[in-house]
Amino acid sequence: MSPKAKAQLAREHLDRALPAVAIEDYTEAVTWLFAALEAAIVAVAEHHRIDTQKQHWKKADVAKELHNSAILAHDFSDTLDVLNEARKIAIYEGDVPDLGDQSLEDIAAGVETAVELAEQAGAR
Amino acid sequence: MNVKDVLAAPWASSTEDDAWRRKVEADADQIERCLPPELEQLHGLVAERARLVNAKALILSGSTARRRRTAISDLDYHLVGPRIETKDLSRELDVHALSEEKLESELLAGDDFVQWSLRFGCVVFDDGTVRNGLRLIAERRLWPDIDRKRAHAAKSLHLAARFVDTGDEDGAVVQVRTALSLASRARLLGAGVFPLSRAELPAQLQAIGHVQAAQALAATIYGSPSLAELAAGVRYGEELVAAMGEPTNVAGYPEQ
Repeated sequence: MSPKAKAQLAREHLDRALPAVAIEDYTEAVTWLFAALEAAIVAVAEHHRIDTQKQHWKKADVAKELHNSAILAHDFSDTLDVLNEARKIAIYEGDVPDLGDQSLEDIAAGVETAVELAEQAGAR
Repeated sequence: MNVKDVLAAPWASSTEDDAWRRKVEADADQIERCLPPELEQLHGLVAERARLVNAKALILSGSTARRRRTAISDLDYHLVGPRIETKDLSRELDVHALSEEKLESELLAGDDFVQWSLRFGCVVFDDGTVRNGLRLIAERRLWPDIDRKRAHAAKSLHLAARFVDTGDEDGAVVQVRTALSLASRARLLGAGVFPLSRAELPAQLQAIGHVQAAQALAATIYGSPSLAELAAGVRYGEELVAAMGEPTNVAGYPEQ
């Protein structure tokens, strides 16, 4: 299988997440949303030749860097942190994760914005 | 360490104050040895903030406490007390805050992470809460809920298989590593062996005869496995779960 573009993967992961968001299947939803957002951030970073590393928390740092350098208008680092923590709680403990003051729909909308930005970066 | 070691732990007895003091001192030494220099300041800030909120106990947990950090390790703590502010600190920090009551209820409900921290974590400070928790484990012969772990592993393996199918290598490595870790922990618990840190799981799996699963898990921790190798890893994980037999619906201490 040839490697897919990260922006395409981000869109596909988001499409897998949305049905789970609708029925509030937290494990499915936060896992796919997290993967979609990470792939979107990596896609934008690669487009701007910014190195992304394997650790999740370093990808969040990259998301902040993309925002601080005005490449992304929105800072997605906190959303990455929330989703990373949420997926660990959902998968490892089987509990409903605490999303703070956001709903799953709010987070999904934010991830969709990031995916659209990744697609735009790839199209340029 | 296995179940019997914990049962024999001297601090299980309320009269063994000296033994407990030695354990806390040994943990302090271990923390000095196991913390990489670049994490010492972060550790100091966590301990300081935990004391400032009058937390009952703080435990350094996870691979750091076992001196088995890998490139993907977080810095994990269990904090018994109010949450502390960490947003201004490194993102690799993972502080799991819970109340004393929650600690006890999690132990009784068969949560393996809390029990792991009590058994293998390093006590940073403790007002007696950690000691009471260890006493509870010993007196009630508590063992993590194997069926719950197996169910989480099965769901995670299913998710990992679908991730592999997406062609996202980076995402698939994470999911397969997570699923194999869960399946390994479930299998080891079912065999009466308490799972250690993630980097130690392959050796523990090998010791009970699951060589291929051990190699597959190690590849997700240290290597860059291909999608085909990850798909095989999922199958080995499924074999681990299948080797456990039917669910028992009994959250209890395994026979040794």
